[in-house]
Amino acid sequence: MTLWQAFLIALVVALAYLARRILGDPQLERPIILGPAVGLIAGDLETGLIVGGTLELIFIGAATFGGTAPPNVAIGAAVGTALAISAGQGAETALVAAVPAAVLGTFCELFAKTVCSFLVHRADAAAAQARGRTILGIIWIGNAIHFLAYFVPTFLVLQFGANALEGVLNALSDDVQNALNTSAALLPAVGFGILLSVLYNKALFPVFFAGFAVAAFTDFTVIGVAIIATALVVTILRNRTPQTPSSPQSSALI
Amino acid sequence: MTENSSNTATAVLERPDEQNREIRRLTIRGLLLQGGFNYERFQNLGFWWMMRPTLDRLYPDPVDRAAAYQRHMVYFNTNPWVVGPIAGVTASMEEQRAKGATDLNDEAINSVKVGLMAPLAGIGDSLIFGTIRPILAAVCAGLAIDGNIAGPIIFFLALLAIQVLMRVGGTATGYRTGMQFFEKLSPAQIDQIKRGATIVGLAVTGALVATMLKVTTPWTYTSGEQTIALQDQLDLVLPALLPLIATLIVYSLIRRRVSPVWVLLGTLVVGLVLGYFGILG
Repeated sequence: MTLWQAFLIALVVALAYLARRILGDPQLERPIILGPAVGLIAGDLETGLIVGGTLELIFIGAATFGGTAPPNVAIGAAVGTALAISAGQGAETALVAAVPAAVLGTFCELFAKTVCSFLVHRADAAAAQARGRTILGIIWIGNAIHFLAYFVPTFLVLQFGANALEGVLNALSDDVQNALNTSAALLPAVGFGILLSVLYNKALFPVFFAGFAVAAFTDFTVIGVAIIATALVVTILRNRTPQTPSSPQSSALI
Repeated sequence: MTENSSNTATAVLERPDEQNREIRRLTIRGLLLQGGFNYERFQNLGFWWMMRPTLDRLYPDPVDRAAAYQRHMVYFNTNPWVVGPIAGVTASMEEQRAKGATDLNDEAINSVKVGLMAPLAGIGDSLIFGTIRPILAAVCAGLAIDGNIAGPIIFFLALLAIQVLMRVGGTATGYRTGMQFFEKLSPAQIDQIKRGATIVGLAVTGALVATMLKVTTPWTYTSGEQTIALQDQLDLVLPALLPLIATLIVYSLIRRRVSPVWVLLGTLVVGLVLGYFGILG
């Protein structure tokens, strides 16, 4: 990992996160996007794709719901991918770095959002005097804080932490490698568990087991289950929603 | 607040082309909704930025304008994909107010904003982050793990297309229907859409657990002459039983308000330990 690569990766991570602030919500900070992007910078697109896809499954349910702080998928994905490529030991090793990085990264977003709370009071004062330009300036100071809260830690971890971790990884025995593979296989359960709690609805919960059973006992894919479920829901809703009284044409026919 | 404002009727948009331009502007400005995001009032600064041109046009008088700015400095938080209808309805209410609808005071405008942001966020969260994105993520992650660059590209483009449609269509609908928005989409209907999305999301999550989670055990035991693999026995009872158990454990921890961050770290450690001792593999 050269200085330039660390710089570029940190820049890409911070820009992908900034996009959530200023370019709608294009989901660029998801591992499936950042993995290949980091792979390109570090010179191994294939590993980037594999690690990105693996991490995407682990973090499949991680999202900001009502202002909670989920594990930081962006920093986790970038650090994990970069390390997997520089250590050259497969996607599972990426997790050793990605999971702790995602956990530590949570504080970065918390930090930025908390600091911006102080700026709001300046915006209040500007609003009272109808000074729109000042409020806009405050918004961009906030955006800059958000950007730096991602850029600086990512760069520091890549520049100073990666080498140390690489040494640890190279010293791992086969037993530990097996353990890593198991962990990699188990971790998507976290994503699915979070997803379940997001969707929690006591009355509807049995549907989860129906979807599980269909996919477990048959060759149905996720898409297949999604299509069946959607078709059922649309049918039920259409037949339950009180329709407006029959249209003029149909009443003319009667 | 000055009631005898100096607004003239010319500031209000009547022509369709002017209204279309307004809808376009609200949609584009909505991209910055989460700019300056803060834990005190969440997306309030971004929402003000969306409203600013409308407010500037309707309230040329500095005192009125300051009051309008302050009106939109309050707490605002919704799913960014569904901000369109809220911004559209709010802009149309501001027009009505500037036209002279005196019953539209600060409280009325804010209560409509709040009344829309929570139910629409519910739809957005369950439909986008609970259903559509996980489906896309599961399919595209499968492609990416096979080394196929189409994975991330499809993921990005499909979500982008859905988001553009929701933002453009949502803003136009909100602006055109204005306060009648609730008649077009009643709270009961909003709730039904959310329930529908939740049903699909739950079924998909079940399928994800059964297909994408590969937790198995290498344990064997001898029964008489035979060596029997525990996994084979489990598969006879219920395929993907271990993935189901693992998911339900995580789920119950998060329902008990254990932080997802700790659950993640804990799962990493549990996986390492169980793998090291060959209990799972």
